[in-house]
Amino acid sequence: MKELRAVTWIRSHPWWTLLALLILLVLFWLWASGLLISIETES
Amino acid sequence: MLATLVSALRGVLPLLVVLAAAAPAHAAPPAPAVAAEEETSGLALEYSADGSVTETAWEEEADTATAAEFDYPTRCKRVSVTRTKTNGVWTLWSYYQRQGFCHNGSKVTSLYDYLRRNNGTGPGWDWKGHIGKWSSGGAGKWSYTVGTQGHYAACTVISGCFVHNFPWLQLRVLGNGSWAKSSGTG
Repeated sequence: MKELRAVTWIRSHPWWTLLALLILLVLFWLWASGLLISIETES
Repeated sequence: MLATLVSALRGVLPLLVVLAAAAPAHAAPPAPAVAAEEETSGLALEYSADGSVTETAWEEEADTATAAEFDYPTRCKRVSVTRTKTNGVWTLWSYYQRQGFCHNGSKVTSLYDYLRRNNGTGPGWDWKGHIGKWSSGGAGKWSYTVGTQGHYAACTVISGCFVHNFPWLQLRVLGNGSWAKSSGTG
């Protein structure tokens, strides 16, 4: 069976894949904690 | 193909476990919506230290005894201010203050039903308590101003608390029934 291009790339670049995942996780965590984007409102 | 993907990501799993441990320390439900700012009736919920909740129905009403002394009838109302911080999707913290007051057109005749509280926190944020309260004026005066300041912190299990917010809220009520709110974050 022919592999998808993305899978082929991941198999040949495991460390770059790891780094990308790490960056995505850090960005998600920063956003979820309100450190990346925060909006304050008064009501 | 799935097996190939799993094989490619196998080395990532231990790191994911470590990152998950560093994620926000806990999750809490979003803060409840706050009632309208100026209300004429409603149901008040008081949260006691022992966890019990007391419900009290209330409504704005005229003070006929005092009204007899003035052409302007004495009226009472409750006003509130809420400051909320979100990440665009869910609430991170919400701080609330309210004050009830009666007025006769020239003076604030009485004050009642003051409350300040944390209205809820989101994942990774902790409520650290009230850190200040101030007031000026009062019953019998033309105006009354009351303010409060709270402390919220973003914390993780690993790093502890690393971001601190100090929101403040202020309400100013006048003898003619008008009022103003203001807030900010220190």
